[in-house]
Amino acid sequence: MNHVEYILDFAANLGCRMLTVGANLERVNDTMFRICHSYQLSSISIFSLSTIIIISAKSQDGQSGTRQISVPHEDKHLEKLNRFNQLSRKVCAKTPPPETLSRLLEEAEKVSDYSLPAIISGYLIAMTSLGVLNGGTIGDIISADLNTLILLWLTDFLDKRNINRIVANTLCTWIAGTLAILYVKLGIGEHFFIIVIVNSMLMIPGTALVNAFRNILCGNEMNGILELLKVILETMAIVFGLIVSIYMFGGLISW
Amino acid sequence: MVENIKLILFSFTASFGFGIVFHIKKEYLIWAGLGGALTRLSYLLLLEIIDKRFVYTLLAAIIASLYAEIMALELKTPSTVFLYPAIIPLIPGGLLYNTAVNFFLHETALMLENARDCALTLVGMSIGFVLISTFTYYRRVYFFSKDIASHFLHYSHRKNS
Repeated sequence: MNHVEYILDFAANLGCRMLTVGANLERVNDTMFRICHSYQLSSISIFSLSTIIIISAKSQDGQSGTRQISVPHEDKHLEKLNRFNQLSRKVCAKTPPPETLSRLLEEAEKVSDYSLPAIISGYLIAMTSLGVLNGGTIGDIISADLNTLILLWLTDFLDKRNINRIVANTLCTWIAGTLAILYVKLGIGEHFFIIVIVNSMLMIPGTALVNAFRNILCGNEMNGILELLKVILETMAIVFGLIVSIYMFGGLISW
Repeated sequence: MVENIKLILFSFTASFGFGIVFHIKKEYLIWAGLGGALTRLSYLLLLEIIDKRFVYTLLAAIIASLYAEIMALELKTPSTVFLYPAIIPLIPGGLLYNTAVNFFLHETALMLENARDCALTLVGMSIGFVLISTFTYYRRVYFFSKDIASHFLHYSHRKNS
């Protein structure tokens, strides 16, 4: 591989990793541009959506290259984002040899994660707080927390099997809605809608929604519209699952 | 008063919890929680003096965004690290959810009302973020002269210039 290819590989892979862990599109484009620029590449052209990155550039000796990379879906990991950001600054400032760039990216990936119990505790703290903020009783909060544990396991189970997110959301809320009806019937929870609204907050792509609007306002209309459509479809799927559970078992409780 | 303190306290814990979920460094979790509490506090104060949803959401988003930018400068991290937890109290998840529920229940008037509120909140938040991120971008350029001309005009880069 020539130098341009090493640099483009690095820029595209770093951009891809940044997008998957939660960076916004404007920042990713800026980072890729700066990296190419710091290695004195010219004719830099970047096209990116939240699902794909295409980047091409030309070196001073006339060699050119293009990279196209698809962006997988992953959960947010803001510490990795922080590490990638530091790496991009370091690379732009010191321009290390292009052959070493992929190793630097691998090193930046090595971040110690929270343990599973810590992550579950994080979810429970967040859900309990949202339960209180939405006016839930202790019974509602316990019900929402129980549902959260089941939803976390179910989401992980479906993700590992590459089940489409819209189908997964429908299934998750159908189960969450059915269980919420059961909790109310058993007298654990009191307010069905508070339990399911709190659980929906786990799945409703709130930050994606904000990012979609931000993209539209920042000039990335295509990505913004795609993201907005995705958010609407995912939300519709969430509600559809819930409505099905109400139609099936709603008669068991009074509203 | 007690109700408001409760809201602020639980906004702190919600943002703290989401901080863990988003894998924010342990040392920054308290700051993530404080971001949520500050956003809720400003939201409650603005709600007292302004009755236009768009305006108070815009101002609360500006405060959340400013907080994230200041923390990012102080701790040398991307502002996103503090922005995501800070905006948790503003995200109109409930409104979006109610819009979709009313759509399925054929409650058109309620659906439209919720959809309008949801859109106003989102546009307000987005404009708030864009305003602050644009401002901080140009502030960086102005104070640290980051070769802005070459960035925009695609001139060849001169190292150490």
